Amino acid sequence: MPFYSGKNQFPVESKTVLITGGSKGMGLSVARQLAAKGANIIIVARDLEKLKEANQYISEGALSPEQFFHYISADLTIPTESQRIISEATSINHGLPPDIVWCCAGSSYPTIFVDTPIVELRNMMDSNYFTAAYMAHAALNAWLKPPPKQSSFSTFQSNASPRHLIFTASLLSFFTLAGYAPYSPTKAALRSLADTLSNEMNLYSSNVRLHTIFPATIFTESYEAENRVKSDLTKKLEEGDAGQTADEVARRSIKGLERGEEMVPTTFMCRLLMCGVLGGSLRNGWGLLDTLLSWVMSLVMVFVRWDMDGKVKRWRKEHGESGMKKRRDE
Amino acid sequence: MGGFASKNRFPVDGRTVVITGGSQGMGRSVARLLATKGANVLIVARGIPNLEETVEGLSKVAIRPSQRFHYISADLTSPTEAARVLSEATRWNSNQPPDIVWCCAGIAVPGLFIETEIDTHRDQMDSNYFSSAYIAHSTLRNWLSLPFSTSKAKEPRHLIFTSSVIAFYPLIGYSPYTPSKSALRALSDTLSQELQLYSKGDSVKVHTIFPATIFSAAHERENLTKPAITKKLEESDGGQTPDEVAIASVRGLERGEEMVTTSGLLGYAMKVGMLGASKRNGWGVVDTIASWIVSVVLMVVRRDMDGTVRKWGLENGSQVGQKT
Repeated sequence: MPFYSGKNQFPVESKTVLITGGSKGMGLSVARQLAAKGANIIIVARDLEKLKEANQYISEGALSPEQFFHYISADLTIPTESQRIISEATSINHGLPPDIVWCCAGSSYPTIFVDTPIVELRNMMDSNYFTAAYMAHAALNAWLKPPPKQSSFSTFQSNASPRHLIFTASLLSFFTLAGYAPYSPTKAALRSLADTLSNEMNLYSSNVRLHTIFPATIFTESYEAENRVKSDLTKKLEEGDAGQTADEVARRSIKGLERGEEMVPTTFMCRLLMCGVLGGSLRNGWGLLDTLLSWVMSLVMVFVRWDMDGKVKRWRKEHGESGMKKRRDE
Repeated sequence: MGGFASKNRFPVDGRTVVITGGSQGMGRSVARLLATKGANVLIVARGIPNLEETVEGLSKVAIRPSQRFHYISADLTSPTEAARVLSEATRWNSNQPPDIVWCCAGIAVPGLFIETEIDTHRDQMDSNYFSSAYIAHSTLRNWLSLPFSTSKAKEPRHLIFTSSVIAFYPLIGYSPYTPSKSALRALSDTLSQELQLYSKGDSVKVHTIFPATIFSAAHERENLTKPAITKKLEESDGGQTPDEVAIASVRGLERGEEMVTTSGLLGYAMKVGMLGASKRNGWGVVDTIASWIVSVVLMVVRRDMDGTVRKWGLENGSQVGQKT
């Protein structure tokens, strides 16, 4: 039962961290901040040029010359790639699998459902859910079923300190918004997988900790791309979310992890909304605050939903049915 | 509001219903139940023998000679098949799109995450999420593009997904399955908001059914791969027959509910533990108060479940994947 005992439950100095989606946005910020805390970093993404640039930037933040920094180019939507990456990372890491695997890879394509090209439904699920599920599968297999010749050493390692598997979901995992139909289900699936694995990890004597980060809007290159397809209606519904920089999200995530949290919201709004859908998810500490908040939120959500529905209806009256603002000449 | 009104919010007499996964299990029970309520029913699945058998059975329980029954064989995990099914169904229905589309197609293949092949994870997502998402896409595009004058129904059209209580309470051993069902819930919630956007949105309703264990042929197959620890944790969930699930689902739909649980108090409790911004029943008073109680209870339940799993792991060794 994770307590807030003041002890850092996510020490990374001299540990090796594998970060997918580590060449830009949140992944890059996470990589740099963990480098500054003494970790060895291996980043994974598709674009080789971006990876090289990112690797340079990350290594500049290093705490000590002993740290190593690597990058691997891969398309994580291909199931077998995750296994290859874990093997490569293991060779780089002196024959041991990485201590920490943090999945930041993902993308957003927020369009009104009926306007969404059908192929995007699958692209979103691949990009956001399967890249993480495949990586989790490869990492957990490496941690929980070490190859026989290494077993004694690995067992020694595994008993020594916990390993961490971190997913990056989204506020939209528990609070859906009109216009995110291609995206929210993928993030809800991630949360669900994390919860299931959290239950499953109790089965294994190896100490594996699971975490999921829940950010809201992050100001990154991808966010700008997202906004080019996003409906104006969705932009309006999102108005209440101030947004954070990637560095801020990374900072808050790491802080939550150090406190031993399993579900890590990065803004207060995310925490509140999370408490509205806690279900059987592991609460932080004794769960008192989360539970109290859940009572409040349960009441508040009725009004939030009613308000959101009202906004959509009013939009329809003013702007019609496309989700896009009427152009002046119409 | 669905509170005290006794109006049936899901009339099916004389209307046309498309049911995916309609040739076995819950889908078949739903098809038969709606046939006894006067609906024309078109069932979709892959295997033709089961489809033929089911359609024959439907005509036997029909209440009017004018009712029509039909089947289409399709693999709904393919995006183009959904569009084909919709257009064939429309042609069959005298060039009117169906009034109700109910997605029951799906399958559960439980297993411990690391013991389960990657392909199984993909297959579950295809079978449970994409088959429904593709149908929903074709259906809604069809319904929402109709010029108002030809949409004869003043009664709303209904799009119904079938998720599972596991979406409210993930359990060890269901990692290939639960995410697909949670994804469905999120899609349904998003559509529920989006449908307000369309003036005919008042005439399209979306619902999701959350059954618990259903004693069907598929359930027996499911039990073949289910880890022993999962069976242990599920002990408290009795289970229902597909007919019971169909009856409870339709009852919830007739009451106008958006999120329908079928398994009594347990299913209801699990739902209110995870309500969030989902539409509550009526004014939401009962749901909200219930959620407070459940919020406390779930903490204890979770701790207890984790304890059971930990103990199991210690007793059975950490290389557990043991199937009974």
